[in-house]
Amino acid sequence: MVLLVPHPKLPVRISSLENGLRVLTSVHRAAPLVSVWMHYGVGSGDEGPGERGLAHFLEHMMFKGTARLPKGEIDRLTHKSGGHNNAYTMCDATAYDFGLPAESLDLALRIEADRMENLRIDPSEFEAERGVILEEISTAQDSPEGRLQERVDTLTFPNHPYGHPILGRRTDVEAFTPSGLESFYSRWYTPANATLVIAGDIDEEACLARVHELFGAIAARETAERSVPPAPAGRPAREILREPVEVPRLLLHFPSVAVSDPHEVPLECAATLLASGRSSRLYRRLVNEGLLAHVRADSETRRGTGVFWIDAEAHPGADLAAIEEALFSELANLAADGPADRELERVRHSLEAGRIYRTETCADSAEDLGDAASVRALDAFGDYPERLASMTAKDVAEAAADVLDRDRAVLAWSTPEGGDSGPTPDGVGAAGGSR
Amino acid sequence: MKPPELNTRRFVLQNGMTLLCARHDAAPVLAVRTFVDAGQRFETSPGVSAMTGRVLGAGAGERTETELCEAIEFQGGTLETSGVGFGMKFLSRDMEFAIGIAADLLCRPGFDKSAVERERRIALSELQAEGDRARQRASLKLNAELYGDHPFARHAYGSADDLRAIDRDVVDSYHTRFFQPGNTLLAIAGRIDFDEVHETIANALGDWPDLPVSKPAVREPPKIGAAREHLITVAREQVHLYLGHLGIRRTDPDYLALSVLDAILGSGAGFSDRLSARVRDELGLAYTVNATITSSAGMEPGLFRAYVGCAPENWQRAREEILAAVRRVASEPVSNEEIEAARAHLAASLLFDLQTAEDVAIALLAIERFGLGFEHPAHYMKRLDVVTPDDVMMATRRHLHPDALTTIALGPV
Repeated sequence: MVLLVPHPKLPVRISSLENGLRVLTSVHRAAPLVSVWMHYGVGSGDEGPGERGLAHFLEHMMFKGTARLPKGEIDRLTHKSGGHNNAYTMCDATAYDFGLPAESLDLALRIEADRMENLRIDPSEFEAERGVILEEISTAQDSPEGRLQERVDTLTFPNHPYGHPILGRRTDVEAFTPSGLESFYSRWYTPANATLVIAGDIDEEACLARVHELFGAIAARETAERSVPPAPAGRPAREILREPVEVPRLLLHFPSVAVSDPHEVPLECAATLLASGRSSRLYRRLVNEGLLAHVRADSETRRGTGVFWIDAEAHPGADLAAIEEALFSELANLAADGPADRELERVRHSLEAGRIYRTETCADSAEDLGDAASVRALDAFGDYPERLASMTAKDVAEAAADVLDRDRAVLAWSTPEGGDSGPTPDGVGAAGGSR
Repeated sequence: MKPPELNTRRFVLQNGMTLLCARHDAAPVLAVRTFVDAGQRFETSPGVSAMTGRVLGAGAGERTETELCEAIEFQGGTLETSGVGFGMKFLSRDMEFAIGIAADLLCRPGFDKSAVERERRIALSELQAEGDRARQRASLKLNAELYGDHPFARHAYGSADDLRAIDRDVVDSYHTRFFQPGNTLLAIAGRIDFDEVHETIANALGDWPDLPVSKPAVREPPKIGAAREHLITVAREQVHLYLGHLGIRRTDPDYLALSVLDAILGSGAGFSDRLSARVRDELGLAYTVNATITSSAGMEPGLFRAYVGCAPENWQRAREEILAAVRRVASEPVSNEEIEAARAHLAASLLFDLQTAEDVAIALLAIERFGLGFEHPAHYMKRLDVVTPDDVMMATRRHLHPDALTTIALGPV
């Protein structure tokens, strides 16, 4: 039985199949295109010991064929239809997408239905893909930002599901077996753990009938029990990594809040006013004053503990301690005083417009809906304009005080070997190690 | 597949500026983009184009840099700048505001002196930071090897010494020289009324005086010569390998056939192209492998470039695989199935590439610059329909020369 329920605040209708598959449809008539996203409620945060990197490995193998579709066929058929496909793995979910001319919608539905239950993990294909993934890891390792990310994630989330790289480490990936992957697939890739989003130039009724026909035949299967990752037991940390690099780079993490937390929107606002554009606070304080070349910030909420991050690239030879002092003093100012009225209004307008820009394409709309439905709460996504409109300067200040607290900061610098990183703010030597 | 239809209007102001408008209803979004016929190819001070782009938003009209940024953000807008103009995105309701900002950026840029100093310092840092980006270093080395005395041989920023020589006056004189109405295209797309836009633009920019623009002659890049090999040893996880030689201009009659070739050889959707299917999917040698001759084609010749990042023990094997794939497309016709898939991919790309107001504004500028005409989408699809395997093979033979590909391998080689 298909139940079709329009969402009160979003241009989407929600249906559920008896096997538990949730289906979201959204009509976009601007172009004769369709975007199909399948979100599975499993990511690197669900990996147990010996499985680190397995969610991502499985994402790769989902393109390598099924009992019905030989290797290469998914890409070949997609290409032949004029479409494209891709996928990515996150901490909390794995997402697959197809962009197709509207008349080829059926292709994406058939492929997704087929690989939801008939994935074939051929050992030789598995080995070839292991090589691809090891090269993907090497690509990340060749980037100073990639190495910093891995180190700071580990420091923020020690012995925690969010603390290891989504790609896995080389030794993990080298130890995977086809049977381990099959077991992971069976546990997590079930209809009840999936959300299908179809947005575009579609006949909604016909589309749903076809979804029912293709996916309704898939037997309900038990999904592994999914717990919310616990709060990390990490401590504040500061490390200096001596690396073969030319310029110093900083990554700063604050363990943050989960999705739908009252601080969620104020923290998004804080990230925008701190580091979005040349009028932002950190840009004016640190880039205009010649301490940094670049600075960015973002608030990432998750099912478990999220991360508020700030990253920066400093000028060669920069005084790292002075940068940290300036940075933390800006965060403290925000926590103490919150944004000025006009600043808050500016950020609010910017975030509101950003959301409207995301509605221009059916792909962006579908991606956001899928993310909201699988990781966040669809209602909270629908309420976003109201949450943004009702947010006050006090809300931003309180969120900053709770989350952007220097005593909770986890940071690392990647600095040139042999360089002078200057004294640390707390007077401890700069040779590294957590504090 | 039905071609997308552009609802467009073209105006030329009395001062010679060309205004291109398109009605696009996808969302209440307005895109404003300009193209000024300038850039690296016409530079007399190396790096000045990139530096002008960095500081084009550093104040304009009566506003300082911070005031300009705040004003744009207050409306929820975005601004990106380059040495050949800028792109802005706003909500449709802010059309007059957006045009006011555009007029200020074109006619009354501030080029705040301290911003020029700041950006010069940042650019110097970025030049140094590129030492950390192995792939980028290899790519720049390929440009340096293949472009000879042509401006594209050098980094867009110029050298560190070039950068130090650029001050506010150098930027201002570049802007004055090239940012002239007769040398400027301005495209606006969104939920607009053509006559209203025309009137607003004419009011904002109609009295912008037009001065003649003299453009320096651009040196021709060297013709394709013998294959060369440069191995650059650095400690990295991967070897970053480029193979390349001089490519084509966007106006080359073979552009379309070579677009089909790109889709088949190394730039298809997913991992369906030959290089991805073989080097990545079948052999598992690389995460990233690709090749293209059309993506860098512009008013100046681009490059044919193939790239792979792979383990040190595999780079020579990967190079052999790329060379074999290039030789094969030059020696035997591609299959009908491959041609059909490439056609479908390229035709659908037209639809995907015209979804947002910004996409449409970008397309308007390309259509005007390369003389494609507003009927371009329909013509393009018709022409695509008749591209044959022989067309692709003959174009490949004319433009791809596997024995003349220069190798750049950077990493533990």
